[in-house]
Amino acid sequence: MTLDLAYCWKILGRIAPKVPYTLLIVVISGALGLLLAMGVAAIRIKKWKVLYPLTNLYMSFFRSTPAIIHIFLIYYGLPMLFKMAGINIDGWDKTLYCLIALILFNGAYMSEFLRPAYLSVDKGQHDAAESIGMTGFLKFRRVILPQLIPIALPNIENSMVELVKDTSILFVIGLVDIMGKAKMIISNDYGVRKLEVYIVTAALYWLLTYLVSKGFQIAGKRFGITKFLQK
Amino acid sequence: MIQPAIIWQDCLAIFSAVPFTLGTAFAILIASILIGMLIAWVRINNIPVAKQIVHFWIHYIRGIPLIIHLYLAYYALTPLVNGLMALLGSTQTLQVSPLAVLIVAYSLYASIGQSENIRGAYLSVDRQQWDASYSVGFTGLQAMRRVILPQGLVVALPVFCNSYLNIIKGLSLAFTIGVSDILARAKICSAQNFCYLEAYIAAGLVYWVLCGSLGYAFQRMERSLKKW
Repeated sequence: MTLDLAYCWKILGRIAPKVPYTLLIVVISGALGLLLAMGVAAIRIKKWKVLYPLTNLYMSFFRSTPAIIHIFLIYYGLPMLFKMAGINIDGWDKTLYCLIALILFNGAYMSEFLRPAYLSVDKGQHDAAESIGMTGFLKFRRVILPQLIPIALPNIENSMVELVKDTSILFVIGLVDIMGKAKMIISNDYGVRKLEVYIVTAALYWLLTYLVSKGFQIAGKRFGITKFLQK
Repeated sequence: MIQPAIIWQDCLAIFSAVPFTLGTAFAILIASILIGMLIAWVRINNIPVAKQIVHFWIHYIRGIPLIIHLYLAYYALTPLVNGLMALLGSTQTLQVSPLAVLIVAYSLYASIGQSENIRGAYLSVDRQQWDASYSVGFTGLQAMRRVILPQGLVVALPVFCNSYLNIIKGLSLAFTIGVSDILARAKICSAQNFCYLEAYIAAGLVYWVLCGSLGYAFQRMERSLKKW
């Protein structure tokens, strides 16, 4: 078994320009997924009437089917749904389908640890905040959230790292991100040096996940944990 | 438009892949638990060189998507095995089957999570339990088997069940290296009648029923374990 290192280097130059694109997908779907997860967690905590059973259904589906199924279903199903409503979305970019699939998937996963994080804040904190006249959103922002973030942060970091790894299956619908580009190179070269291409791809993903978790650690030190401890 | 008849037909076709998927996932689970035990043992006892290797492995697994790990294993394992055989003086070459690659690669991939779980379960058992078992004259192995393991298992079992579900879902990537599980069967169905959406809906339904019911059963089991 011999590895062609010069070829690896050449391939790296061709795949590396796709890193910002993958990062963009991660950032957008991560942020919106977190937002969705907050909404879902709020519904599940407050047990709102019609929405609660709906979130039950949503969570059970997205947690018991693999991400690859979500991507296929969104990619083939969404245009059909829109067509029934009389809207043609065939012109949509593939990125959009991927983002929708990843957001829905992450919304289900992240809400599963946001809810326990919220519930782990002591009941007495709610009472204390109410005793000085804080209600609703003010209470949440000033009292609950600062205590919730340090609890949830490690899990958020983890799921962001997982999100970077999940983007590697988006190539199945033909999206040209890191993995898609690698696939493209392999088929252009008639699959001669597959191992080299995958090693380069692996290195890039490794770098990306390292950057994401490092970023979270720095941000955690800078904003979350230390600030929380100083108070 | 969506044709329910085709979904039903695809469901039946896909369902024939379920026993295979469950069996493969179980084999991977057992293998990953065994490797995870080894890793946990290394980490708990701080074995010098092995600790560094495990550390590297943890970083590798955390950083690399499963699909790329599978591809790497698929293209590297056969040359590696043949190279080893050549070193041993054998002239015969052999092709490692995709299923073998899948089981080896995936159980190595899952082993880190298992080791984390096993370590947590081991440490969750109070240290005084060891002292107590020594005080009644148990040897180390006896104490492990009679006292520590039963207590640790109650903690570890729910996580094992959860990772079983994760492995079933992760096997959906097996089609990339040519192993025919649930999703691969769905792809075959869709290639036969060109009804892509129906096939994926069917696959989604099969996964949903499978993992949903297993998850429910595991939850019940966890609740009944809690009374200890």
